[in-house]
Amino acid sequence: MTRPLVQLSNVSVHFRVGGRRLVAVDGVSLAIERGEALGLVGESGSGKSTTGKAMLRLVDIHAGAVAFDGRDITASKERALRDVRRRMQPVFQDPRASLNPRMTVAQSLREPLVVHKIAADHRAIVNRLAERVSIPASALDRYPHAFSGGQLQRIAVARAMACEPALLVLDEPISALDVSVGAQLLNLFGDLRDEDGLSYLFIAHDLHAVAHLCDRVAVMYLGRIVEQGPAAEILDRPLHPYTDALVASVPGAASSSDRSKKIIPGEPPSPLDPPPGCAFHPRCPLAEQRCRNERPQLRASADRFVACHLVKN
Amino acid sequence: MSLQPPPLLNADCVRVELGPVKRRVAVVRGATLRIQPGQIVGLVGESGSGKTMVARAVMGLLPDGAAVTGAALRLDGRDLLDVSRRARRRGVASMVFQDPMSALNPYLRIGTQLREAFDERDNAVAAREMARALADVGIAEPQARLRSYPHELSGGMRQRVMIAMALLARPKLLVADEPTTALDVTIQAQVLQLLAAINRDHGMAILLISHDLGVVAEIASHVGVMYAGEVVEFGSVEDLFNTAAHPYTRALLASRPAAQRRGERLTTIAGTVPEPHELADGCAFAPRCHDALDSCRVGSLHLRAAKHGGTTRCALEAAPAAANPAQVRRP
Repeated sequence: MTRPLVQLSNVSVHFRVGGRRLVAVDGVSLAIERGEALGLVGESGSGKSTTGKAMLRLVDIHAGAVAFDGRDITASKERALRDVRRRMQPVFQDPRASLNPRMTVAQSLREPLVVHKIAADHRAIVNRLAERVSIPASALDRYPHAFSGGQLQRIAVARAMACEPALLVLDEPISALDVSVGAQLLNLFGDLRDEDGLSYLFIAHDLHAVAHLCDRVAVMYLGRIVEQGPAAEILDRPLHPYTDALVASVPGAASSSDRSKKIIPGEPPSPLDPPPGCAFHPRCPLAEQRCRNERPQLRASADRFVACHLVKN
Repeated sequence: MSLQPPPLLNADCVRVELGPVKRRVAVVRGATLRIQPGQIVGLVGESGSGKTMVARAVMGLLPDGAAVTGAALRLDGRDLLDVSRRARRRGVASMVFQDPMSALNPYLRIGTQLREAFDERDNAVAAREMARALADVGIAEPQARLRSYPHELSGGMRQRVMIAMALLARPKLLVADEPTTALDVTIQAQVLQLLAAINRDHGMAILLISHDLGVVAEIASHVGVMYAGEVVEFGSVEDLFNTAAHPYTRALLASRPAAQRRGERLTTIAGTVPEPHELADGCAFAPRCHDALDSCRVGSLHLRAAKHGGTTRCALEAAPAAANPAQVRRP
């Protein structure tokens, strides 16, 4: 077995909210191989973005370990992280918020080269980056306001690619875009992986977009992974009741009779006050006594891992 | 003509112009759609296609200085193009917006805001009706919730409050503009189920506006597709999904990740949506259309009968001219 590019082992991230402890990520383990795309899905507050930030070491880790390319970066200081940061880059949901409105596109694309002291012909690199994301070189001296949302997101991807990273953490990169524009971005991510052997952590709530790009997918609920395995198989045959409901909730996906049975009631509980036992039991149509008392562990079951008492292996 | 009841909403070649007199921009250039009483009709399109402006024209919520013209815009028999009668929508149509937090007043209790939404002199009766409306939209402990402030509720709950508020006015038409876009998928499924139940139980017609064809397909019977300010296709949901009669509709359907096999390249639409000032003669979609002929780029296009029984603005996809009762000239 080769060493995974990035590995989270039992990672927990806590925040303090009004004097109380909020467990945003609770014992998450993930690994991404070189050239592999891992999807991370879940609803608001499930901890998927925080997991991405833990992988980038943009938040402090309270327990567990993060390793990048075999090197433990769990407690690395900023200076030591600089080299690692060059090789893993984030792309966020709203490119208008992540690009400086007072910098031209060329300046934004050049900035990472300056920060990481890459000595080369910056102009040539910037032109090549723009070409790869189909932004005309003639537009490089314009400011972000002159571009559409889809173009800006491609520019944000180009900036992330400037230092030739090995991993991109994509946090809802197409959620704010129209469908046909989102499709262009998904195609671009596919091309970059095929050409450069990039790895992705693709954080999204759109299961179909995730299944399109990713080999494997992990489903999060209230800070924990409830199901993890091959993307196509999980989408076709979800085992965890939450994944099942999530797949059935995608509009236009299932027949209406099939879905009305699977619409789950209620809303996710507050991470400040998680329920005992399985976090999903208050909304689960199948919950038994055991689910209310005993927290299920992630166990291997055929082609995947599932955290549910009711799934037999 | 079939003996259908008169439509609740009849929009025929509606045009909406915004902006100062010398630089007016037509954001809606030809919106034709009908909603029968009790029907759920979807209106889909990408950002800037003009779908929200159609909703606002129906609701009388356009910005100052906007001009609405066209062959007809009638709601429950009222002529909405007649300036003197514009105020008379009250009690006929209510609207639900995408972001309930900005539609609700953060300083006022839910009960206070619901109380403003309908005419009832007797406070005791009003309190009962408000509690019932909240219960109808699936809010637990409605009495207690009437005393809550918006920030104490989740996004899904706030959207339910907005729907309850719309219900209190007992409208014949509910205009829902991206009502589930800000919600998580499991909550979105709950809210769509709620809208379908309200339509069934109260016979209330719904105009459901969304960028997501899947959302519309969930509960609507008919759907209009908007592109660059025009309704380019109108028909039953089933027909649109199976035998779309406009290349734009087909491209939109094909670019959804759900529509394609894993790992295959997604179909994209080359180029971008034209800005209002970039529009030339002919079909607005022609510059991005794979099938466009020279004839598509000249003259004016009108809505024609499509093979699937609805209407399409594509000259190449229309049914033979003989079966063409819905022909309407663009203004």
